[in-house]
Amino acid sequence: VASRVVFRSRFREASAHARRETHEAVEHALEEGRKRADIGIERINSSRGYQLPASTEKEGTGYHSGLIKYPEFYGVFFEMGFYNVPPMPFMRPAHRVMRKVFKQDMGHLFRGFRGL
Amino acid sequence: VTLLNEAAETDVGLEEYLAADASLTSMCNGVFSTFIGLASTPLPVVRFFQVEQDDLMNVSGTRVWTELIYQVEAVTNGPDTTEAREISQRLDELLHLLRGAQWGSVLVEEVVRRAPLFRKTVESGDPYVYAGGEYLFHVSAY
Repeated sequence: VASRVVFRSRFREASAHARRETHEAVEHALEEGRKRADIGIERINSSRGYQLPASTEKEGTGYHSGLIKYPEFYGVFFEMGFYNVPPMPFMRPAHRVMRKVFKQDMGHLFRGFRGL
Repeated sequence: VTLLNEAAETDVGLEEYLAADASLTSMCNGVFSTFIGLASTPLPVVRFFQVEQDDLMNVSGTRVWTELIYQVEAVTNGPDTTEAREISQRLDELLHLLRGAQWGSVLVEEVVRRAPLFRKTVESGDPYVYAGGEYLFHVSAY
């Protein structure tokens, strides 16, 4: 006697829709992350009187993946701090925001499938 | 509802905890959570900063957990990395998987390292080495 039943969908539209929605969730997360990083830069500027450009960029590295980057070479010094300056993280909080947004979007779109 | 600034309490507790370790203090000249005194202290030193803080879980206004992320690192003169690596190893022994410590009014539920940190820089012509980690603290009001 079978102890479980397996449903297997062969409905192409379902997988296409999932791919599209996942792509949109990634895009949304990247955009929110980019905005959060720029807010961090503005905070550094206003608290310390610097004029760092708020120019964080987002870049798709695949259909379901991407990254945000701060193009200026000195960004890492402010992110991690250096001997005479404390760290003023702006990318790490942005990363946190991206994770939250992605999970939120995916949890909404794929409700009922969470945990599988 | 317990009214407490977990971030502030943990900051004080962490400094005291690290400074109280004889092995760590024998390897460095001080533990700093601010820049006061850091510039006048010869390297190597240990310093830490709060990177992020968040109330992880609230139930009916009661804070169950607060999540704090610290950047904890040794700073040494470069380019030799030996001292920095030894100190960061001791820091990891002290912090990673620390559970149940009571620091003032907060209970440290768990500490885990989220990422290792290591970098070598040249600042105003002087080489520095930084080694440590990004540690995630889950604390609650005691």
